[in-house]
Amino acid sequence: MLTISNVSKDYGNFKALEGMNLQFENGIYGLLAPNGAGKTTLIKMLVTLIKPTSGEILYNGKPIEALGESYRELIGYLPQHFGYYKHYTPQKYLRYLAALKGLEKDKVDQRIDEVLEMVALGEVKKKKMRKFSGGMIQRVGIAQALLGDPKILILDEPTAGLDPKERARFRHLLSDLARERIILISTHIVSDIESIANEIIMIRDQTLLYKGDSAAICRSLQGKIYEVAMPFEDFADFRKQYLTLEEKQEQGHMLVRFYAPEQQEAEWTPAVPQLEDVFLIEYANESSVR
Amino acid sequence: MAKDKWDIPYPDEQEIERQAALIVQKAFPEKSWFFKEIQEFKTQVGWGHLFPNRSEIIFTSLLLVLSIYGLWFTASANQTTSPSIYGYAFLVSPLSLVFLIAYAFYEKLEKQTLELEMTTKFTIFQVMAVRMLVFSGISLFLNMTGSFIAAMNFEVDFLRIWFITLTGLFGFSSGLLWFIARGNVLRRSVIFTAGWLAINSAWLFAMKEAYLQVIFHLPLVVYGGILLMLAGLFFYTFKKAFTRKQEGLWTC
Repeated sequence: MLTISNVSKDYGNFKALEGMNLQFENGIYGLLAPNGAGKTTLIKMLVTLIKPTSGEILYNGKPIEALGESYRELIGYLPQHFGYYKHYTPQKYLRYLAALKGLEKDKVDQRIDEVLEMVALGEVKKKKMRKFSGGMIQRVGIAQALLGDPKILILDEPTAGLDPKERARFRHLLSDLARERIILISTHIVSDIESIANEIIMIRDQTLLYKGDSAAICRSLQGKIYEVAMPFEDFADFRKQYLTLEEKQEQGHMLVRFYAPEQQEAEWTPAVPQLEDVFLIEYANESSVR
Repeated sequence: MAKDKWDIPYPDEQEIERQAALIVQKAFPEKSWFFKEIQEFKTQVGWGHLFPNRSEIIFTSLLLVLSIYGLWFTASANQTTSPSIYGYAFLVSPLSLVFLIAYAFYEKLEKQTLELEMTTKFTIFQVMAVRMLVFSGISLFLNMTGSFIAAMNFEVDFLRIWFITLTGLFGFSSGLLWFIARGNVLRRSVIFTAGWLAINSAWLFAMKEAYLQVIFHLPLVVYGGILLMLAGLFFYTFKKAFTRKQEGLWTC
């Protein structure tokens, strides 16, 4: 079990994270927050790159800092900006990282083949990465994170650059892997985690806003999300009054999905709340979401 | 109730020995020994993976050619047995090492591989320290080649100039390893390197005669003694850097 106990992080006078308490067991956790909310700080602390200013992070009851390399051996990490050597092939780069991860030499090549197959890069394992697309590079990044069969898999914006088919494959892959490990996915693309995450973690203003399953958080919006069709000319005024979540132009009118916490008009149709709605409502005042 | 009959195969000798060894290993964990750690590092990572970037090899080769040319040029300019060349050799001997380390670090930052490499089993300090060991070896070779060429072509005492360059090299390496064994690595490396160059340049140019007299007239036996001490210091500081913990060192 991975425990974050009352963790805060300051950079001088700037508070990057405050009083964070979280517990992770095997399963998929989706970390949702707009840019600047503190999710990358949290991730960097979990992978030991930075230390908390106060509080501690424990793995099975022991501080991760004290565990040192035996903790790092358990981690698979995909940074937000995955760096690589252009003249390397995926196979060669993974061999290099396997060496730094301290994997058993005689099993490395077999494991590399396995993880490259998982991300559908088996056929290009001997091609230089300089010719790879952004999506292919990202898949190499995912493969390297899986290399050591990690007990804790931490992925920062893993689906950046992946096309819809690759994203679907990635979701299936994570679902298969989640039984035996902790998987933490940081993203601001709600659809990436909505269907696969056991729990959603939301951070706002450097503090924990919510942790729980997505159905429960969506239930909290029951009876507050509606749809309505209206003439185009009414839309501008309506938008000033309500937080709109989706807008679609249809034949001769606008179909609007919106948030109305207090009142209901007869012509409004109640809609089923989605995780995306929660995200848009909770972070409505964040500039990166608007 | 009928008694169940259990059929448990008796393990063979090999299995018994393996299990016994496992119990002993778990009960009496082997104490970590520094040279064993280096051995493990070498076996696990291997020399090949210490230099993942091809441009480093090109850069090193280029540096080799430039160093030889530079020393040739310096010796030509001095033309005599002027002690200046010895002072100059002491000052510049660690420069190849500085360039090699700085270039390698720049490449890691530019390729954005450092963040990932800092989360693996082996620490960046282990990688950095062993790379410095290799770089020191390369620099030692560069210095020896330069000294040899200078001795062949000019009135320069090969042993003296080689000893001087080695003293400079080991002195600098030990100092740098000592500095990076704690605090902010980048800041401290820059401060130490700048300090080394500034202090030695100031001595060379401000107190030229006294500085050169010391370097030029110090008996070879004394140089040998200093070298031995510096080699010991090098391995001491190497150990300090190699065993440094890296948790929390990332700067956002």
